[in-house]
Amino acid sequence: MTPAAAHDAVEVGTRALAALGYMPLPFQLEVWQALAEGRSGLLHAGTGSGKTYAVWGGALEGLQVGGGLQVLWVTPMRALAQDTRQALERLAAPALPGLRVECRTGDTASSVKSRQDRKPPEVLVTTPESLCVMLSRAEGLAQLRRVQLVVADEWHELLGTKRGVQLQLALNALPGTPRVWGISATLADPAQALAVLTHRLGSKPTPAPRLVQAPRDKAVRIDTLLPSDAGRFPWAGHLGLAMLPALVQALEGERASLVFTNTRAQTELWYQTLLDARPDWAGLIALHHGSLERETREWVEGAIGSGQLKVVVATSSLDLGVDFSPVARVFQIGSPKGVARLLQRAGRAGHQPDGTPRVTLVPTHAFEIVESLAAQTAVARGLIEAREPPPAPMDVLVQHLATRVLGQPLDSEALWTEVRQAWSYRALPRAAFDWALLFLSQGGASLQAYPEFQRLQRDEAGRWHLPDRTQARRHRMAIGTIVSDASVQVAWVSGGRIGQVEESFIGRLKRGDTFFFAGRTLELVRVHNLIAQVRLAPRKAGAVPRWSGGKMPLSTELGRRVRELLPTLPDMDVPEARALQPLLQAQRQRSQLPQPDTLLVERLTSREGHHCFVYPFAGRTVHLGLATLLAHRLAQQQPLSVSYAVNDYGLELLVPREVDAQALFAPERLRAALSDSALAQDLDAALVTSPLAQRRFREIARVAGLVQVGPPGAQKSTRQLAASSGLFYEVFRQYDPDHALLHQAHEEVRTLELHAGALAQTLAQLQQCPWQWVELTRPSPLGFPLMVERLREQLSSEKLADRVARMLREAEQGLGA
Amino acid sequence: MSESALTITPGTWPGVDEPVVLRPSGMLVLPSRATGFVADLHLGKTAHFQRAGVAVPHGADAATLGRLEQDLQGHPLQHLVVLGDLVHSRQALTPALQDRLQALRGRCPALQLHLVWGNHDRHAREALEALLAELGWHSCPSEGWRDGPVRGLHDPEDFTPDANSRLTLLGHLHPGVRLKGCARQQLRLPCFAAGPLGTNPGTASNKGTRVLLPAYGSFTGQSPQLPEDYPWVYAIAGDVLLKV
Repeated sequence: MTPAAAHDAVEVGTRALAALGYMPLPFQLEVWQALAEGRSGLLHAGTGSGKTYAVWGGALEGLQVGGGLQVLWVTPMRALAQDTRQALERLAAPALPGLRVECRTGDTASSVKSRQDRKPPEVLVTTPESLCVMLSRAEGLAQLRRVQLVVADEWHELLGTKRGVQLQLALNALPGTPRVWGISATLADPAQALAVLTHRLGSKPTPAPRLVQAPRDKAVRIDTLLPSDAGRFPWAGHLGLAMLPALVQALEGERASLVFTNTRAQTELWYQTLLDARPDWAGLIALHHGSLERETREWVEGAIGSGQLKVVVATSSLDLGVDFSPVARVFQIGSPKGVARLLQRAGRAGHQPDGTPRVTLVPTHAFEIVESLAAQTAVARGLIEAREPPPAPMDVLVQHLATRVLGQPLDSEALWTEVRQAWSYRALPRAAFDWALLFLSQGGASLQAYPEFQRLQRDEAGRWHLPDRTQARRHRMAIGTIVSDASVQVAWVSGGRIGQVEESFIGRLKRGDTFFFAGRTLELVRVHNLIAQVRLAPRKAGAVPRWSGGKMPLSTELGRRVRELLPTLPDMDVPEARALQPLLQAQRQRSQLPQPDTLLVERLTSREGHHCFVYPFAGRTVHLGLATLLAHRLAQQQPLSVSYAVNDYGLELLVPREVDAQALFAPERLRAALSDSALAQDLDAALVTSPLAQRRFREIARVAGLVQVGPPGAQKSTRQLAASSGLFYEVFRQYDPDHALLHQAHEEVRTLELHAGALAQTLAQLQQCPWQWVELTRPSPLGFPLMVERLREQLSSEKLADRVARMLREAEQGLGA
Repeated sequence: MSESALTITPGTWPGVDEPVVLRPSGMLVLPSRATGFVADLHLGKTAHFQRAGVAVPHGADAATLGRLEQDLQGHPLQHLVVLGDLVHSRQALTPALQDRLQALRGRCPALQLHLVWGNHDRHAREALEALLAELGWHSCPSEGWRDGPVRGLHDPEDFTPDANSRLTLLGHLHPGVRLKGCARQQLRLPCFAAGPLGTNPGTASNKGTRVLLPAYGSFTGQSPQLPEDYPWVYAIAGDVLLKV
């Protein structure tokens, strides 16, 4: 582009901003300039700093009203689409009258979509999933032909996920070569984020992509809400209701606050509890999570934006986007889990010009006080988690290849060239790519294994098609990499939907049972055609739906800080450390304080069985690997059933009372079981029988289209294709154990869940350091949270019949849980 | 296999005055009638999935029918009653599966084979009817199987107690049981589940027992929760049956 054109672009952007009463900021000018030069790039900026207009203002020049679809604005959450559309429209309206900015997401009505097909808007706000659905249709592809700019909004959210990989692939499937711009919040490695997003362009003769750095985030204030009586503060738990009075008091002093929790179940409970404590806040307090009906969520978002609400209890559904100006303070109940996550949530507050984002951590048990301190240290030192894009996931590739040939027939070579332009697949071996096509066309690598299979077919010209219309429809419905359990609609008996809960939760309820949902106590009347019909319950007690999602591990960044902090706590003079003194005291009395560079091991016999606690302080994921390995190796030596639990500090092995624990948990045996020789081999052997791989496979099988989950309220006919992923896993293990998706599942467990590399390092350290052995008579504060952890893994080398016989014996003696 | 089977002696279950044998394979046998019962084989389920573009490996049908043949060899029966869902769907009834069923017929020429129609079988009605006629199967009427006081049905919802029946055998639900043990261990196993008939006030005088059979097919899941009214549970732990 000529200098004159660049000048025009800046001119147009400046005029548009001026119409809204703003002056362009230096980083905005920089983005406009780069856009005008035809560059792609990444804008690395803090929260609420005019970054949307930085890219949008530069895109206005050259847009033609009536010229077809020219800009794709990809947002990670469909809930954000409407707000984004309004923001884009506000800036463009005066400069380009008649310009249409529309949304196309999973929420868009099909009538609107077909109108868009006939008369495409100039700008489309969409999600990675909806973009892929467009790619899977010939009409969609035709529309995308004139796109000149794709914006990946909140790119940090997608970067480290399979959804991000899906977007990488989709960008390279676009018919033209549009400029690609990412907008991202603070990242550990912005250069990598840029490279991942613009990979294909790196190999083309366009000008080099540009990284534009906006001014840093506003300083964030982080503090901890401490219990008034630290001595009685629980050692474990996750609800943290002991903090209720302190939280209510803190909320009273604020005009508007967001209260973040880590799970939807916690959101429901805290909402109820706050209302019980302050009935006069009825109407001023609301809750927000992803399982509520869209109308409800939108109302809450609107109401907090306009200042009607005092408190909103929310999950990550409110992490992103929407500018809630009235919110002055954010509370985080429970562990912040990660530095980036905490900063993101803090950024929801303090949008007033003079406001400082303030986040207050509300610990639910004593150890979260340590995590709060750790987060403060990390933020002060500017340390933030890296977001690593997943390396070449096969499931996403399989799904994308089917998407592509649905949109247009393509031959293998065209697909191969295109796929490798995506950063995550740049080093994909040809054999892996060929396997993906074989999987889609024959079902597996060997023809005879899948005689009835039919999905992709090749025509005479060697181009692939997906001819079956039912399969095509099912594929489009299943596009995406977010895996959730089958859910059922919750609706009033009189009609009117309330939201969705997991089928497995409703399955455990009987008629007349009550449960908390959407801030109400509901009574189950009946389940009919996958709709759970309910009415308001007279009683105020009930179960809280548990949405699966597992426990989020503490990020390695935060885990490292916790480990550094622990030994120094007794001498620290900050309120948090003082509040922890009773806990440290109890640990000293009942056991010992873990010393730097030694390994603390505690043994205890309780009514439940024999416990062995080991505290490497290496983070949840490494502990999970260690525990799996330990359990496997011990069970190799004798028929044994072990259940184990892990947290960020350590792990617990638990065996039945009948076992001779003195011999089993003897120092020399445990040391031998923690040896780093034959690590890879033993870990693999342990994985095959562990439920970890089975759970990973669940996700992979769904993304690759193996397991079908209908949308809520799906027709009965799709039920003939229903089978649990556990069943699938077993069938593959028995009849096709070399299947590439099984390998992927094992590989993902090894690298993503168990961090095999970090595990080997930890093992080597543990071999060298001295061990502290303590026999407990009562659980120690460190061990107690592990003892009560309900999420556990099991591993057994006992003969099934013997195991069941023992369990029945135990049940008779009243020893069972 | 007979060592590990469990015999319910006469009088244990209300109204049942003949021995009932539960086998870890999932088959229920009434020795005095020389009759065996199995439910929910879901044959051809892998083929159905493959046709729909879901790439599951083969092998389940061979495993299911292999187990059935083993069951039949050890214990000469005169009747085998399938309590519904012999096949998974219309697409499931492939030539390969038809061959397998033919081979089964060939190996047990004297055995009387009966099908109580299940909801899945009905999807394949025409093709299945023709095949069963060719192979000499008996197709049970919609009231199910009946032999004196013994009834066999697919779906428990279709069951209404009548004055004559003392033992009702049912399929459809794929019953499973969750066991909890010491050291926070849990296990889920397929099971037989039985319960007394007269729990409804209106039929209190109607003494009898109903039994849910586990799914016999290799590629079938279990229901996460046992229905109420089946208090006697017999879990299948590998090759052993254990009363829970």
